[in-house]
Amino acid sequence: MDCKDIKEHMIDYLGGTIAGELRCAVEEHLRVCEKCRLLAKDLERTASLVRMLDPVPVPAGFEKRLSQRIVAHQSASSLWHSISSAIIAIGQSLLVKPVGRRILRPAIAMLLLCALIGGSLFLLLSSNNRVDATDRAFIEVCREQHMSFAAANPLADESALLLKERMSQMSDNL
Amino acid sequence: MTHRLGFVLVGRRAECGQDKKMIRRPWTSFTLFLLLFVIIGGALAEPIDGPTVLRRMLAAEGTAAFIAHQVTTLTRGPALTSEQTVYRDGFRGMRTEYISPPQLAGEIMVDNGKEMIHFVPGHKVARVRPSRLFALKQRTQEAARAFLHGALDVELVGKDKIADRPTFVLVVKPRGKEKAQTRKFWVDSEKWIKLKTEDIGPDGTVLSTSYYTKIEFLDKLPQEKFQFEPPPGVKIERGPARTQVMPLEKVRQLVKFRILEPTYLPNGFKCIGATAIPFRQGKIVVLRYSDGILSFSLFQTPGRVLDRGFLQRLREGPSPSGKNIYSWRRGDLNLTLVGPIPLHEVQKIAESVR
Repeated sequence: MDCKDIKEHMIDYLGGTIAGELRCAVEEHLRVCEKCRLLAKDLERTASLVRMLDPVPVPAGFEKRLSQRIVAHQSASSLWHSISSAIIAIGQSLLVKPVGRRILRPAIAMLLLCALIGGSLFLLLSSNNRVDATDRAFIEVCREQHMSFAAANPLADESALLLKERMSQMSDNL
Repeated sequence: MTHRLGFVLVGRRAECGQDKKMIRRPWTSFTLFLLLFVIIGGALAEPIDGPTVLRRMLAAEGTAAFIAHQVTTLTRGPALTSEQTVYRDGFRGMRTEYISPPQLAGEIMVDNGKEMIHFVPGHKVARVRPSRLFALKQRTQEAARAFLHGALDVELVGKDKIADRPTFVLVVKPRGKEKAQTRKFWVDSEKWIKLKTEDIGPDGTVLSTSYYTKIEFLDKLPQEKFQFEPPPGVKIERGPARTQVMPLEKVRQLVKFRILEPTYLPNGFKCIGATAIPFRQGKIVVLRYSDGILSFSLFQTPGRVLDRGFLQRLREGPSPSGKNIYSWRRGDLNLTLVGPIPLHEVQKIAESVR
């Protein structure tokens, strides 16, 4: 049994749900492998911390809502499954038919071209809005300098300016 | 009848030796003296008009000492309110302790006239910056000059009560601007401190309000109030040192690149100084513009400080957070404008930079 196998059985071992030969094999490995022993120790510590927490009551109707969402997710998945199956079927029929074979290559080429143009546009637009660390430092200097200047006006509402500034800093940090 | 006719009749009766009338004489004289005193005093005293209230308000900035509870509300975008305790001793010190909202509660700003410390407990950091009070002192003189040179329209529009204190209500706006952002001040009629400020947009909507709900005036505040010792474990971040605002010609001598200037400025704005601040290995030149109420700064520095894609308008107009930052490039220079200027005006400024 190697480390990979041990990791698979670790939770069951710590939970005490495995016995017999498998349990012995895990114990034997933990005896010789320090890495896995440390992992087991960490997991055990985490589990004991979790057990110390007070149980949190579930809000009313939680289970019902959860099951509804699961059902909705499953039906969405099955819809996607149906669509993808249909696409595959069309693809297969195209490959079989000679006309389909003729248009397949240009269609793929067209698709690749669209993806290339779209990707480039996306990268270009996203880079236009990108603010890297250098920019951020520069803009921060500008903003702070302006703020000191604007707030020092005796005819300004310093508290409103400071509040705006703090809020904008916080929204930037989010 | 006697009172209506005045001192001539009273005098005659007194001369006639009527005892009863004689008793009245000292009182009548006293009343007359008082009346004269009021008339002469009134004629000599400065009339309370808008400019007088503004002048006194500017003067009080540097002298008044008080402790107050302040409420500030931003109404542009999603409304946001903060509450803070303010300790102020003229230009000698200012301390603001935020009470709410939860994101700001516990933050403290202390300014001792030399440096300002902004303590952010959430980030365990104390940012040390140049004193704003020091800058305020300079700018107060500048505002007084702008006012003297007729750059501002000041109008006394009424009286009101704020924090249980009588106030004069003042409207200040840049002269000659039909549609401009204006500021409304409620100025204490005894101590001349602004107790309430309202920022009003060109369309008449209130953009922000701040007012004191409680204020206690003192002779002086202990200087310890304006010292701040960061708690252990707090990181101290020092920003750039104070930079001196000077005429543009002086700044030209300090930098190696050609400083550009806009030939177009929005109505009422003028350059009120420039400065050069160190940034990495080089310098950023800042040109300051103001119309007396609003202000904007134009930053310029050579080289590729900004990322290629960043050289465009960063924020359009007044965003909820109040940011107005615009960037563009001219030749080898990066230009960045920060201030509450509408986009179409920024475009004109950007095109006119030479």
